[in-house]
Amino acid sequence: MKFRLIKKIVRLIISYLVLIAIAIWSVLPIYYIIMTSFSKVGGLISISIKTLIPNHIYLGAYKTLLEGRFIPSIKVPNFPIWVLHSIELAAATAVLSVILAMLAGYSLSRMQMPAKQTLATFIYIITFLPMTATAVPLYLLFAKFHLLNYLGLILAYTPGTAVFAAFLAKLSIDSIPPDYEEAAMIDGLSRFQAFLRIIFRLALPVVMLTALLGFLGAYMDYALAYAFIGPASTKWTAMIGLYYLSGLFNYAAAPAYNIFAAGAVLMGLPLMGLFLVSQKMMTKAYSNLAGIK
Amino acid sequence: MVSWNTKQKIIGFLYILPLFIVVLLLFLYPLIYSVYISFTNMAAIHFLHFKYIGLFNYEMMIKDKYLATLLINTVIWTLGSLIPMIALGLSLAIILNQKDLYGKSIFYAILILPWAFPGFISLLVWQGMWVDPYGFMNRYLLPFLHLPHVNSLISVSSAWTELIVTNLWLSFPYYMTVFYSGLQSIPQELYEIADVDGAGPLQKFATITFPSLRKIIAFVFITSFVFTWNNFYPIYILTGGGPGIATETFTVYAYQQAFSQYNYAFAAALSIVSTIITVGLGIIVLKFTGVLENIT
Repeated sequence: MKFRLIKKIVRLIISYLVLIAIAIWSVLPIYYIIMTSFSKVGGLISISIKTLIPNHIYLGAYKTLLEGRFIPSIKVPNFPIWVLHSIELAAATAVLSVILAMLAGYSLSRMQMPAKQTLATFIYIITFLPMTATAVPLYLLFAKFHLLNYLGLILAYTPGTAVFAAFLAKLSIDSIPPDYEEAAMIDGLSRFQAFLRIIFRLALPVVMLTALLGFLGAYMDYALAYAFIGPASTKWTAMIGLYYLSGLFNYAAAPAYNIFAAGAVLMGLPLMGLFLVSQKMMTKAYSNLAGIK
Repeated sequence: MVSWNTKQKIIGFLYILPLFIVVLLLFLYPLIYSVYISFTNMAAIHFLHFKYIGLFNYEMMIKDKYLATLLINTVIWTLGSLIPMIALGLSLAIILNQKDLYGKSIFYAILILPWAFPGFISLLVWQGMWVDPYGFMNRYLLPFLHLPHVNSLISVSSAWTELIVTNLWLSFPYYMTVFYSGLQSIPQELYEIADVDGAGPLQKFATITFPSLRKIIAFVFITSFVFTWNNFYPIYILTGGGPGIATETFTVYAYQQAFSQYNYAFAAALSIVSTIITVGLGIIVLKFTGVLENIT
């Protein structure tokens, strides 16, 4: 009996030690960048242990980030305009993803058509191609059609989310009884009206999830945005801006490191919140739609 | 007179048509176009007046050992990332799943932060932390733990260490989450019966935990394999494929060839090879996971 108690205590002590060590490791980089953003650190070399101890909060880095003109050719404060560009791109991607995904999901769920399985399989396999693997082909093609701009980026972002979301929408629409639309159609609505008024409303969680995933996907992209609009700093997005602020383009020409830190915190924390919301919605969507694990 | 049934079929196609067109135009057509480009000498100097040069790009890929190097690197990157991630994720899930452990929800909330914080931004932060000698890791943490310096600019093994440790930080919470929810679905009675039979913890793991999780582990391994194979940002930001091309993978190298070296034709050839491999892996995923039965 005593032996079992000792075994249990040892097991719990080891468990807590592992958990605490990994927890510190998990938080460390995030804590480090938050503390750096509240400091006067000008470069990596001046970050010290003292930076990580909160004694007084200095907000100068945030002020410079929001008001600063780091690139002289841009006539307005740089960072806010880059964020605005990102929001525009992400919102357009979200709307387009929702429309495509809901239409396709409705068709997959409700309609009887020949070769449906082949069509679905084909579309699904296509999603295995990651955006970066198709970046080069897309760039070459879009260069030919003068689409190396925001419109091209929105077009390039949309299919990734839309295809994945189409299957989520299909599963969700499967769980809505067809009686609702049939009743509405007997009352004189066309099939498309019934789709807009009834399916969209009843599948609202999937609509929201699709919009959120489309928004995050476009907002977080660097690879395509840099490939398409990299040379034009007036058109940069928030992620290209952060890459520039981090000093990776040109360390000598980048502004102070605490400004990058402020940008990382200001972008990182809200996006982290959105991600956690999308995760919660995803778990709910999956557990509601038994089947896929 | 078109029958009602035919009309329904046509309407069904109309609803899926927009997505289908987008997929064709934005995935398939660019791919076919770049097969064509890969047989030419298109680059910055021949951007408009490029000509057909046959299999030259592919021959160069094989002859100059690019193909072999990239394949080996990509396998090291994929397996080197996946094995520690699955091991750490599973260990943490098992630790968190102990009945008599207090504060698991607090630990869980902290441990998923690296996954929740935007990966691209985390990588930029980590990049600064790894700088040798004055980045945080090399100046404070590694000396504190009595570990040697890591300098990815000059040492290949350092570069892999940096990549794999950072990727582990970014991804272990995902594996922990998946395995944790898998563990919670194992009936507690199984363990109680094993306790009555006098089974030890290792025996319980081998006879109850592992067999119950085998399907989830297989699913996670195969889907993550494809994801990690093509994962772009960690290598692009942390080592840029260096030193030399020692940590370049297909995706990163193709991107750099196109957008830093302007070797479009060679980049297209690399993308084609990478795409063929990805689709091959994708078909294996479909076969293994039976995900198609659920979506059609």
